[in-house]
Amino acid sequence: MRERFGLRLRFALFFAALAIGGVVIIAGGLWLGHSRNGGPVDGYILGGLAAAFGLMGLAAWIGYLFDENVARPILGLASDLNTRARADVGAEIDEEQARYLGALAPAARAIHSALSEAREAQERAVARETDRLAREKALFEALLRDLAEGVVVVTPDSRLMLFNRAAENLLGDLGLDRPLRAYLRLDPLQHAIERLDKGLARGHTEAESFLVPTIDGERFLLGRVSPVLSGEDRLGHVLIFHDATEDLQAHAERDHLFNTLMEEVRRPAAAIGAVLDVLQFDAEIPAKTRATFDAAMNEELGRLFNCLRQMDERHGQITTRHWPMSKVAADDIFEGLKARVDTSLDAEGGTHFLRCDGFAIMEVTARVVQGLSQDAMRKDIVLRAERHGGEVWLTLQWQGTEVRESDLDTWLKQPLSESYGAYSGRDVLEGHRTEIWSETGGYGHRIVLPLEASGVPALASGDVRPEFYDFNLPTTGGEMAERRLSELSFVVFDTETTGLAPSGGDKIVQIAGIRIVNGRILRGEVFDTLVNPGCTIPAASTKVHGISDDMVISAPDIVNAGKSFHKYCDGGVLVAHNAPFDMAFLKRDEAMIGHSFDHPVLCTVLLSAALYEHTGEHTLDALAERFGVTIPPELRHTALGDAMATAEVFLQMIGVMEAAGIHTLGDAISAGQRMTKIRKAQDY
Amino acid sequence: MAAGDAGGSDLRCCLHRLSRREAGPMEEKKILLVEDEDNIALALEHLIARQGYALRRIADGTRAMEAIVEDHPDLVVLDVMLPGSSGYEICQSIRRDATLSDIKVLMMTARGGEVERRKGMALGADDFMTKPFATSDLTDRINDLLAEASDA
Repeated sequence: MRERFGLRLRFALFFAALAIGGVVIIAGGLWLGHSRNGGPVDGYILGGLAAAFGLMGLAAWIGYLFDENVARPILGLASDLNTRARADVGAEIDEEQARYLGALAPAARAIHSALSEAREAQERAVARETDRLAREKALFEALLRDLAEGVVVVTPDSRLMLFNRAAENLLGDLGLDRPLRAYLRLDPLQHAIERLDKGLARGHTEAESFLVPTIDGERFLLGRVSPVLSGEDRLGHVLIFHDATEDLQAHAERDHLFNTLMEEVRRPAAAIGAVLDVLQFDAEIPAKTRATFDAAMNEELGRLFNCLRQMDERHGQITTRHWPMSKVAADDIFEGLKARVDTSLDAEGGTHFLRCDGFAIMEVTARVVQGLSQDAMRKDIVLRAERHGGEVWLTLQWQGTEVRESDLDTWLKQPLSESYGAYSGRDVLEGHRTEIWSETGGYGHRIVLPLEASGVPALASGDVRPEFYDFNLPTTGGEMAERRLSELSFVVFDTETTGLAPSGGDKIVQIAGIRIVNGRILRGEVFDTLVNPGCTIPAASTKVHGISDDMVISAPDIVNAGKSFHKYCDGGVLVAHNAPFDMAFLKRDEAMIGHSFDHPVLCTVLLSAALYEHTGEHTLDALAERFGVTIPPELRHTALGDAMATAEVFLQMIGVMEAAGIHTLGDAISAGQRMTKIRKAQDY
Repeated sequence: MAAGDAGGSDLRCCLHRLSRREAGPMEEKKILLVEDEDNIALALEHLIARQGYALRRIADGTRAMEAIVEDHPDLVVLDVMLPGSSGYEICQSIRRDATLSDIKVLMMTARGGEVERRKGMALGADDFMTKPFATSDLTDRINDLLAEASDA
């Protein structure tokens, strides 16, 4: 603004000076004329006035034209150029306004087009890069999510930066920025990392393996750890897990079985050997003694046979096999088979599920179908899957020539497929502990292959966590109060209760929480549970939150719900709208829950009062409106809906607090405390 | 199956033995033992002969079929793992030949699995035994099967 007046004022002053100077010169000229020639003064004055007014009028008129056609257009152009420098304005510069400025307007216009072109090129480049990144990101996410092995990436201090679905299946409910020690015993990992470090020092970069029990001790995981290095910096570690529980169990069972077998065979074998020796070398044994020896021999033989029978049964019960098995739909095998053989096949009963190596079984059946079709007399081949108790029988039925056992044997002796090396169909059958045979009946002939039936596999849940990695987790360390708000993990939560008086015996009926980590709301890591209050919920409260007695019958009580919520809050700062109210309920029941909620607490009501003291409204609705957060009406007054809205409000509040000089957790807590004091003083 | 009417079979078997002794050697039942292991064959030959049956032993799968057609025994005691044709193969061949339909087949194997037993039965065996077994168990089952055969 200053500059605009500056230029126009300067022009005005210039013309004013010109006018005043002219008037002074005219006055001086007239005075000189009068002093030389004399004569009446009136004539001089009249002439002087006319000339002075004329001059001033001329100066004013030309000054006006200058202002209109030079000063203003210059200012206009300058402002246009300024705007274009700062923002992307598409409209071209209006040359009409600057038509008296000569080449200036076309030059400005040229600058505008050059700038626009440069900007467009830049935007295209950015869009191209963004596209590429988005593609890579999608690929990376899909790859990690569906990887069969559990993948976890941790920071150097073992907090989770990334985890995939398989890791969640192995380790439980994982959460970003959570410490790994909550899910795994860390000692084996630390030991592996030490070995890794020693290896790195020697220039080895191979991953280190370790065996680790899960925190509940129920499963054993085989893990591999490798470092993430960026130059000299260690950014963290990549851990890859697979479940070794069953392998280990099977090994242990087999070892145990073998040891028992050896022991139980040795004893009767020794006894039989000894008895036989006696009978052979001592021919003179009296009949009575001989009978005793015979009985002993029979007893030991019985023991030996019994042992063999039992071992056989127990061996069959070791369910894990070395052949990789999965749940496969018979249909999938049939479809693959049809694509693999030239013979036309009909298929029935494909909806049954089998536990088998689908590819190997498909190859085995393909060998059989190919074998069958060598004889042109065999017709109407029908594939079937039939459920028989715990088994699904794959059958191939046909009319015409029957199949000899020796043919079947020949077909199955061939190597199965190039990808299986020397493995034959016979090996596949052994791996599946099954047999294949041909039968003849009223239907014609059929080949039967019994396989273990399996339940319908649980569909992979579609609710994959939307946020399963964050490679920019802030480093931790130092006093929590000293840390910046934007770096902390928060648990924003809300409770619904039977009433408004925690001290008057009201109880919690619902707790919901959501995490904010590194400035991001983790919508996939939600805590949400109903709580059985152990008393009836007053109708008035049900009207507010919609939770009735029926809904909480099978819900956990506050002890169990409180325990899991405490675990969920681990390492976080608690945030709630009117936190003192919710905290009063949790604090009251701490003894029962067995954990204390001694986390730092922030209250959005108090923070809002500290930030916007001039406005009186600090309800959740008012805050939501101020920050443009919409709460779907059906979610308002549900613990999760309110917690979600509070989280969104709080996230925006962090920015406002930064601007207001509230940077650290300590700052925010003291701002809240100041408000508490003021409110108490006002008896609010 | 055999286990269900074990009591009845025992009784029949005793009657059968009595009748056999009375009838004399003319109606002696014929058993063909197809077994490649010499030692077990030695013991089985001895045991079966003592029961009063005529016994012939074949040591490999290839010649078994010829012997069966030639002798037309009442019972074939058949090992699964044989050089040449397998026991399954031989059993299947017996069952597909209508002229041999009256022959009883008792299969035995050292590979003790339920699925092997099922395969043997599916291929038409009348009974299936897993090695090792008590010899008395074997002779009981042989008697049962031959009793069934003469009833039929």
